[in-house]
Amino acid sequence: MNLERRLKTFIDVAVRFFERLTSEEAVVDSPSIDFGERELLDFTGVIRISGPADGLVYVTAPTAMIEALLRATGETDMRPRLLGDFVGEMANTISSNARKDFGPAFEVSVPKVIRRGEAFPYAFPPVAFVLPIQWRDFSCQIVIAVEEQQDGEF
Amino acid sequence: MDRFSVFETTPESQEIMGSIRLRAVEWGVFFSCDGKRTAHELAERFELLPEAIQTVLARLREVELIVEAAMPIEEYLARRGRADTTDEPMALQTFLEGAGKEVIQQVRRKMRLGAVMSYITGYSPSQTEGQLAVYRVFLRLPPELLKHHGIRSLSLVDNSTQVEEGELTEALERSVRQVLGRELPDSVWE
Repeated sequence: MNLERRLKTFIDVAVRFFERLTSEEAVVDSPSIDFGERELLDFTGVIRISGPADGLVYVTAPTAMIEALLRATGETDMRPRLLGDFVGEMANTISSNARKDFGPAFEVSVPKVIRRGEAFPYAFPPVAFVLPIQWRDFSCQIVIAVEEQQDGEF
Repeated sequence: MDRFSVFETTPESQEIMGSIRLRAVEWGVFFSCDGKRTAHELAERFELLPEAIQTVLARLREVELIVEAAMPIEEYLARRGRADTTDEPMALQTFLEGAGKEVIQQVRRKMRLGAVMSYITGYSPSQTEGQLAVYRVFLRLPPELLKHHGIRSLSLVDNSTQVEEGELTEALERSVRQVLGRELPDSVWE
């Protein structure tokens, strides 16, 4: 399986996460490649991957979107800790699926949750693939930022 | 006549054609003299050595079927393209280092990044994998080179960014070769 197919796993799982949770379609928007500083939204769940490609995959979302997602599941408690847990759960779902798909050559960490204003626990790789995901009127981002350690197929 | 000379048919050629005999290769070269192709390009097209194309062109000029076309300096520099020019006369080198800098700026090609992205995604089984392949290509470029060109973010859809031929376009060509195992086509240039 090549690197593109492995990285696509993150995107597929994230899109399915919305649909499974809310039975409403999430739409993938136009992606971009960013070379500079990146701004995090209110809550970010980040996973570290290492192996033939090292780097980070994270989902970053605004508070309003997380609250709407929680409401869609019947949740009424909107305390910040629960919002953070929700983003952590989303990142955990992505990382669990990635562990299965990536195979033993890759290590996929358990997710960390960061709130806006908190220090980011890792160094940002310089080049990131940024994919906005629209759900209802809200938008979050899946960001893949890796550095390849070897060429070719993995 | 040199390798960047271009030739066009004479006004009399239509009349002369019916009354002369030429070798097949000479007729072939004659019909390819469109006022755009250089002697070097004609040689490549007919798989002729430099001496052989010079002989054919001399024969076509002798029977007045073609004449060498004159061109302005901008067109000459565009035709030179990226050819090896180390043997060029000092006068041209002096011109290029002085007043000619502006002219060179005008004729330098520009690479369309949107076309590069389309070319890469065309080799992937799905749009997302194609976009991730584009990401892999850009991962291999020195970020400072992109910043030098003022590129901080690139949309992967409907991208209209153009980059002047130079270090960055060479790095992109190299990276595409490494990731795809293919050369970028001429169509990525404006």
